[in-house]
Amino acid sequence: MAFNYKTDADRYKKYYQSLEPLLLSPKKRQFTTVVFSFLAISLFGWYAIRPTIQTILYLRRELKDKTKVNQQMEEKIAALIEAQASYQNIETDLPLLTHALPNNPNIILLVSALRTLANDSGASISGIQAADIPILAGETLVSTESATVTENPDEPVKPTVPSGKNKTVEIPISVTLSGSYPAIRSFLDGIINLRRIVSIETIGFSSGTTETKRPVANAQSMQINLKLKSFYQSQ
Amino acid sequence: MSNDRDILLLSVFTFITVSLWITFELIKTVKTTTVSSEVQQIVTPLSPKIDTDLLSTLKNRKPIE
Repeated sequence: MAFNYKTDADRYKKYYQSLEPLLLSPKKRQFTTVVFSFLAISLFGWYAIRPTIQTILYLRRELKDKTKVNQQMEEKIAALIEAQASYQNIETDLPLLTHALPNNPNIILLVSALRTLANDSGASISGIQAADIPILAGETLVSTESATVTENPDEPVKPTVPSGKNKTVEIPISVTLSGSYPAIRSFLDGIINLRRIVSIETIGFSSGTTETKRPVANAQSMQINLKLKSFYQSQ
Repeated sequence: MSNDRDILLLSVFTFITVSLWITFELIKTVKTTTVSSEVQQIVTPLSPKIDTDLLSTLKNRKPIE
């Protein structure tokens, strides 16, 4: 039903007429002013002042951050130039790193070096056992045990490839060695002084009952079981 | 009179709440960095020093050939 203001206005007259005495009271007017002032400040503070101040502060922070990033970039560029100069100075020596940590297992060379080292030291290798590793990088696993004399009853060891970005592969090697104390010590020193990284994990001693095959004058023969670990960089 | 007091308290608490909210938002804006994690990774300081002692040590060791 449509609202007829000529007749129906009288029905609501008492409501807006009752507001008049309230607004005439000074106390009520002050009170209304205070309440609406708080509400207006809250409303405009949220919808107008906050975004403006937030934009100002964001831009100031961005300016500060960009200035700092620019400075850090300049420092890094200077460091890179310096590093490039240092790199060029040592470029000829870099193959040493490849010798220490080759790109492929090179296990045959390593075993050969151990045997040569034992020969030079006067010790005798009775067994070398290496992990199942590819002969060349990218090949499937090939056992190297058949290439060496194996008398070690220990279980076959497996190369360890750590997960993640670090692709340095460990090559566990077990060596059984016999000889005199000076010969074995010389062998161990030789391992430590190898250019290729070979770390000695464990050494097990046992006194030998037979004499050494090498001509070591009246030296007590002893036998050691070495667990070595070498590494290569997997590509 | 009690009704008037309630309205006044409501408006005052609204004002306080909005003021605190605005303050915390602005503090958050000031404290939050605008540099992305990729840029932060790029500008990580780099030490140009190369450990040449290591190369000297390796040079003095016996090659396996």
